[in-house]
Amino acid sequence: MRENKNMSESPSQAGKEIPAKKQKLSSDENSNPDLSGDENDDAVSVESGTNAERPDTPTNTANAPGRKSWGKGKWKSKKCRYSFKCVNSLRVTLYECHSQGEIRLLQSYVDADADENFYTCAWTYDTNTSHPLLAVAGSRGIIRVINHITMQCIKHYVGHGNAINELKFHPRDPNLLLSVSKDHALRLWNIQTDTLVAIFGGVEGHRDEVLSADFDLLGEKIMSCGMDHSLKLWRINSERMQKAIRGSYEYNPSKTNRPFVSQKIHFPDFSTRDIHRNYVDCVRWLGDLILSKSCENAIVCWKPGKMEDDIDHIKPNESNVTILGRFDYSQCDIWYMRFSMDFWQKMLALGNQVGKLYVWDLEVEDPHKAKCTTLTLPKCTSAIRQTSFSRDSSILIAVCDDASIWRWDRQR
Amino acid sequence: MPSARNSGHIMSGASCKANGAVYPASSAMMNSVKKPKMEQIQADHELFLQAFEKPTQIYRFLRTRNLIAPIFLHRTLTFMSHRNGRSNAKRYGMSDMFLFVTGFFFVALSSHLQLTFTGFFHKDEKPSQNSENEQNSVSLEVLLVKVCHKKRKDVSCPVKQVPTGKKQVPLNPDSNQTKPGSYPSLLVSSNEFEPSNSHMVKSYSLLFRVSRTGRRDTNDTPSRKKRSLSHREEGETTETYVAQMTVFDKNRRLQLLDGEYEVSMQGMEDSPVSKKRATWETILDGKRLPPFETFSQGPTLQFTLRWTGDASGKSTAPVAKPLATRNSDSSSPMETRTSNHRTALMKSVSTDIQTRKEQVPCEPRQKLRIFYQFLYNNNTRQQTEARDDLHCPWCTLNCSKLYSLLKHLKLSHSRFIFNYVPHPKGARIDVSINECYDGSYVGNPQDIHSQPGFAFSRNGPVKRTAVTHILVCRPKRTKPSLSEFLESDDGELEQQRTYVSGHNRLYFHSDSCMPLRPQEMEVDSEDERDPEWLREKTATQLDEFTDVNEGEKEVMKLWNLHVMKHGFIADNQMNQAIMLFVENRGAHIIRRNLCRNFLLHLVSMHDFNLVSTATIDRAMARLRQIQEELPDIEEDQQDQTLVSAAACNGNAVTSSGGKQGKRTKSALTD
Repeated sequence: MRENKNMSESPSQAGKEIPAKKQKLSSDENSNPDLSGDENDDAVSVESGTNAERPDTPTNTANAPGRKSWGKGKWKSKKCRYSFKCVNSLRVTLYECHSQGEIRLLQSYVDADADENFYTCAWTYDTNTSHPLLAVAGSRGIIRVINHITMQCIKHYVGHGNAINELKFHPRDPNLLLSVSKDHALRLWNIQTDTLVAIFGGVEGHRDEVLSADFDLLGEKIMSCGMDHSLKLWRINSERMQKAIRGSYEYNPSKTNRPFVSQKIHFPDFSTRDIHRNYVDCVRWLGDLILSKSCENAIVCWKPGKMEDDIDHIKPNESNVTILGRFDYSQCDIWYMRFSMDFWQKMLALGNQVGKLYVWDLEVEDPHKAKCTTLTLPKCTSAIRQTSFSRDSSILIAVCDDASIWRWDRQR
Repeated sequence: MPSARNSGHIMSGASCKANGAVYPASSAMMNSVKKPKMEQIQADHELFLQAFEKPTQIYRFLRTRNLIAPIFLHRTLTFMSHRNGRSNAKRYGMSDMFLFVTGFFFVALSSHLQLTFTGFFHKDEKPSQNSENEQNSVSLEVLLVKVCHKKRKDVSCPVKQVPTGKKQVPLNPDSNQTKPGSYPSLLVSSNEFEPSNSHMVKSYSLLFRVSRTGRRDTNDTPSRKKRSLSHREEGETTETYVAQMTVFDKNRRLQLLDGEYEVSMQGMEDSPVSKKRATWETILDGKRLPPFETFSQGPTLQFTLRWTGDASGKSTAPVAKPLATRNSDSSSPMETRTSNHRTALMKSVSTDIQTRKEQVPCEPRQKLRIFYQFLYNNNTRQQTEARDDLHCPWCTLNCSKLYSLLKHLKLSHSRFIFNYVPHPKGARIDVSINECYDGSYVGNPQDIHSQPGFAFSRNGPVKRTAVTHILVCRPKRTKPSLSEFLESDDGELEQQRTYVSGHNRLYFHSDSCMPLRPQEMEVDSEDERDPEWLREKTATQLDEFTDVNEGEKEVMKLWNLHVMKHGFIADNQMNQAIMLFVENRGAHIIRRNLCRNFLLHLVSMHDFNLVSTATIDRAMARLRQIQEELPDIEEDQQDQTLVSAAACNGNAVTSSGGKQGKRTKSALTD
């Protein structure tokens, strides 16, 4: 393990300042929904401050895993090149990371409905205009697509019966959006033609909230996980799904009076409950392997079937799973704590409920020997729900329950 | 309610501005009430203001929205028809358009303006009271005035006057006496309207100048020169009347169309008409109504105007556009109709008024006072007076008529109840809060959900959901009467009913919870007796059996899906179910060689007393019959083995077995 791969041990300047300034600015900026153009460093804390004032922001009290109250105040952050965004309660805020540890607030969007509570976001781009687009969703189950160039919410999709826990875009088709919902189902949308391509769920689907899902690197399959302790594999390179995706592009609502027929995929291509014994709240593909975590203080690396089985030939009734490794950590036994990987899948980051960040370097020959680095700060003490790397893995952003955002820069 | 209040402050309030909205003035409180009651009254008044504030705010907002993005045009409403500047009759049909096109070419080639003068009317003389010829005619000179484009050196627009001719026009002729052919007529060549050399001509107009010698002036000659000489030399009473009419305006739009005209002439001192100071005025503006009396009294010139293809010939198309060098405006067809013209008056300094024979009937302007009386808890709280103003107080729409105003208030501001009470000075309108107002969506149900995915931003127009319902409704229109706004005793509830009926909600697909477009209403998403997942689930559940062989499983799957598909629920349906099964699935069973499995199934059904032996016999007989009808079953099966062997695929294709096998065979033999 090379030393220069580690994150810097000292946090950036901006990260330090956030908690200190947040009370100061909270009152005067509270009423301003759109803070775009605010250039100074303090603007970062404005967002934090407003959130801190919200009475319904959850405090870090319950440590019993699976408490429903944790559904609130989920923090997520995503990065797109140098800007990242952060969703919390009813706001969507865009920041931009600059060199020297500076974080700039660019834009902030507030949902018209005060009951909205955004949980998740995902970046994509408009295939016609190449504008970056941002999809956000949350407790109301409505997906909103924001074009921050035109500063408009350009689309919204209703259909989910309950809150949306995660959004993911297809790695190769920027128009395919996967949403994962409390209504026990996943939905695949085509945001170019505004069609619902498929619903994954039903008779053999998840039996409880779906919490997380991920496309594999080629976008051929989806792995989802949820409160029913299960992980389910859904192939979208099947002939049926490919036809449905093609059909969604060809569908033109103004030309036909027929509705677009969404596929209802009731049967996953693989399902297991053997990996975790509690809510599975995060899953990511690592090549053909799967990383998933529950509130059991470990990220598990596993694969369906036996060791020698090919993932593409796993039968739906396959009952074997092979656990390849575990990344252990401590004090992270609440649910809705997400780990993240960088774009190159060389680093893995996860925060725990006392504000500690664990970063693993995966670029080792034996995954068991992946070196873990712990990043701590005295002022960062609340649960880090979400982390995100920049595309070039140089910046790590972590967001906490106390509405603070922390930025870590890799120094070498 | 204390009675003191009732008597107390009825007439408080502020007067309404001409086009401002009515807002109950909070300051208006009376003072003749006893002090202890004051506070209560104050609170009551606050409630009153609050009650009226919300709808007022809403209508204010809607007014602004309607200004920016109108949903409908007021002038299209029946009761607002007077706001419509044109009538349907004037609209251009398709045939008119063709006429227009052909007419255009005619004009472009050659077209002359033919003026046939009927007579000069001046009412202070009786027609032909004198038998002398001179007394019966006046001298008319027609000049074509060309206003040219200003050049840099010019101070004002250069004006060219081209004399086109002089005629003797009968004075006060009796229309019964004179034959149509005998009228003096004048021809203006089309060449005159062509773009001239030195100056670009901006507009053309005709200047009529009528010279009439006084009564005592007996020796008059048609010659203008002489007349003017005599006028100058003798200083006799020669009266000159002028009028000017625009032929082509500066946008090169033809203003004078075929028709009969009566032009009001003005006595002229000697001032030439200055186009510069000409102003446009509309009649309805109401500031200065044109003296219509001039048409019955004053000097008028009657003539018929025609655009003719040749000097003597018939009229060409009613529409003519002059050599449209530029700016061929599409609005000109609007103006096109013979003898039924718009009423925009041109008034120059010398006040020559040109008008057409038919005027829009204009309501006599009266000083109408409208008192808005705001009621709350059945008590008058405020009275606001609008003087001479038929603007809607909430949206400042000029309704022009009391009836229209009331109708508009009733239909557009239905959060209030308006009751009309006749008033000696005008009208009183009692305004109260409509407690029964139905705030639910009453618009087009198609508009609730027009575009899936479209959020708040809509850049430019988007296509509406295409649903076409042609509804023809011709309700019997009662004659507009103010009595319909009077407070009725019993019919109140009936009147407040919403006028749009139908489904005013959004529906969703039952299987995907996606919004249902209106045109998808017919597509039944609830038809799920055997949805795909259930079929799949049934099959997989049967696959999990361990104590039955594959053939039995196959028959069980087929049978279960069959029962599920047709929804057999009773024992006595089984005979029928079996025969239908054989019809539908017989061939499949034979191909898969499942006949014995099927027979076993029938026997076990018989064991449960579900079918009779007769049915078993019939079913098996039918199966055998199908087997015989099936072409080359043996061969096919052979082929299938070949195919499967060739394709190295364990799953033989069964559903399309027959034909595919044959094709493969031929391919193999080839």
